[in-house]
Amino acid sequence: MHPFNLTIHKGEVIGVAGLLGSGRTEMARIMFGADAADEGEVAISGAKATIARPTDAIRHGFGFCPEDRKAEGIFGDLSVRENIIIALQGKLGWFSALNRDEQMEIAGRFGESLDIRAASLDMPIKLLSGGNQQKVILSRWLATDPAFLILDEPTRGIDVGAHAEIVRTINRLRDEGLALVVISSELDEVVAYSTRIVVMRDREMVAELNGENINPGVIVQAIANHRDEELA
Amino acid sequence: MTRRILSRLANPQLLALVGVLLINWLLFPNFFRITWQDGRLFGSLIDVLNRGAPVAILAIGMVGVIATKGVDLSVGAVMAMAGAVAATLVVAGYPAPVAVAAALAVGLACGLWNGFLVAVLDIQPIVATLVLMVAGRGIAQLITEGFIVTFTDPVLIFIGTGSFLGFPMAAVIALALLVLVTLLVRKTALGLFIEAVGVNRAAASLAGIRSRMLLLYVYGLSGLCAAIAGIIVAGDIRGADANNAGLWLELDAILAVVIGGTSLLGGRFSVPLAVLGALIIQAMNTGILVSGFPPEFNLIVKAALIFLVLIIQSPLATRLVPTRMPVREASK
Repeated sequence: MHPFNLTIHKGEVIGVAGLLGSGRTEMARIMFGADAADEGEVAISGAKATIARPTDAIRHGFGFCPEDRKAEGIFGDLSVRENIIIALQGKLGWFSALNRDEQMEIAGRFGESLDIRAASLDMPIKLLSGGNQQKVILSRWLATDPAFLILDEPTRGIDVGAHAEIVRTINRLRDEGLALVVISSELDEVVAYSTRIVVMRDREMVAELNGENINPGVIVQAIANHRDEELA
Repeated sequence: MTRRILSRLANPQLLALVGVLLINWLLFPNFFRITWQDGRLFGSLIDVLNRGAPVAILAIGMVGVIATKGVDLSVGAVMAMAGAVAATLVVAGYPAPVAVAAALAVGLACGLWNGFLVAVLDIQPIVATLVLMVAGRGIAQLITEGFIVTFTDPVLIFIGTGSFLGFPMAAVIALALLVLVTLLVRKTALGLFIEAVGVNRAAASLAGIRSRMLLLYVYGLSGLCAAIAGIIVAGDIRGADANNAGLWLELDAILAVVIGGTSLLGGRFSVPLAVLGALIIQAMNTGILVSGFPPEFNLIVKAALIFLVLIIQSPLATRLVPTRMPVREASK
């Protein structure tokens, strides 16, 4: 992974484009503290911060929906309710347990606002469709009242309805003032919701696109171009 | 409310226990007779509680470990070590509380060592705890210098053989631990975190659960429980037998947890059901003993039981008859 520098503001969606294996996921994991950076620094609202592990990131209001939903996202045997409240409970610590009513209220609230289709909030999440599982993981982070969300391929392999719901949610969160980094291979989608786009190639950030440059043609060009023809 | 209690009573573990007790009663008509003598209760049922207590205590520690997708093979050896430490210290003239505290500390240290191997060095639990399973018994033999260390300390003997309100001390300790650990995991979020780590450790870490700390806790608790069981067993025979104390009991504890419906693949777990599992095993042991069958029968019946439980929990059976662990009541 080559060094990278990224500034993200409130109310901004940074789209991350690039081919598979271009270092997009690695960048996301480093930002969230899931993988250690060799060196570097993080400043949040101007103050220096240390993000060495996910708990540090979460304390600063970060959230992360991983690319591999099944392996790193869902807790298959746990209920939808537990899957939604787990990050919030992790943030609160083991001693201040949310009681069942509080859990139901939180899970119900996000289940409704993201239109999660589940027969019951007490059913195991593994019985839900991929799209609904993704909405549950998104709800898990929204329940922690985050300031910054990193979404890695949030719309991959899910049905059309859920896809639209997630794109709608990304737009809504941006308008509510959250900062988001969204990694996606679907260029039309990235172009639609991003306020800025960074392009990754060979584990390096090779371009940052603003304004008019946010269109699929320029992105494809940036992905394909060699380093000496870099766009600024 | 009554309905909920009824549906809770209709769980397979409780039915199995009742079934075993009824069979015992058919084989030995006096099985349910309980008498009051010298300020305490006597009878086969009381015997089940008393003899089942060490494995029940091991199971209380083991269930958390298994829920994290682990296993603790060292608990039998840790029992032997804890017994050896307690016996050697009281024989050397230390007061009983010091001896008990030292034995508990040894158990906790053993558990944390296991936890360290599993959580920090990422060694597979079965291998990590095998180290102490083998070495622990050796250490216990070194402590007792190869002898059975006998003692006359009244406090230790009371822990092993005494009674409280008529009930055997061992059973009272097991019940207290059951209540304590159940409250600890269900009234806090520990139970949820343990299950989350067992179901998907990678996702748990990304969701902000400190899985390493959690693994240290559960293995530490297992070691502590093993030490308590070891002190009870030593007090019961008034001596520490490094060769035989707790021998193969880790397997009974694992069986109890599995009978209690906790999968060896981790995830959902129940402390009370694991204790019921231990009681089922002991009810069979006692039943075979009092009904006059040769004790060798025990192993065969136990094997048959394991077979039955595995069949019931096999993927095929769960497909045919969908059963789940009861949906847990979140803490109120």
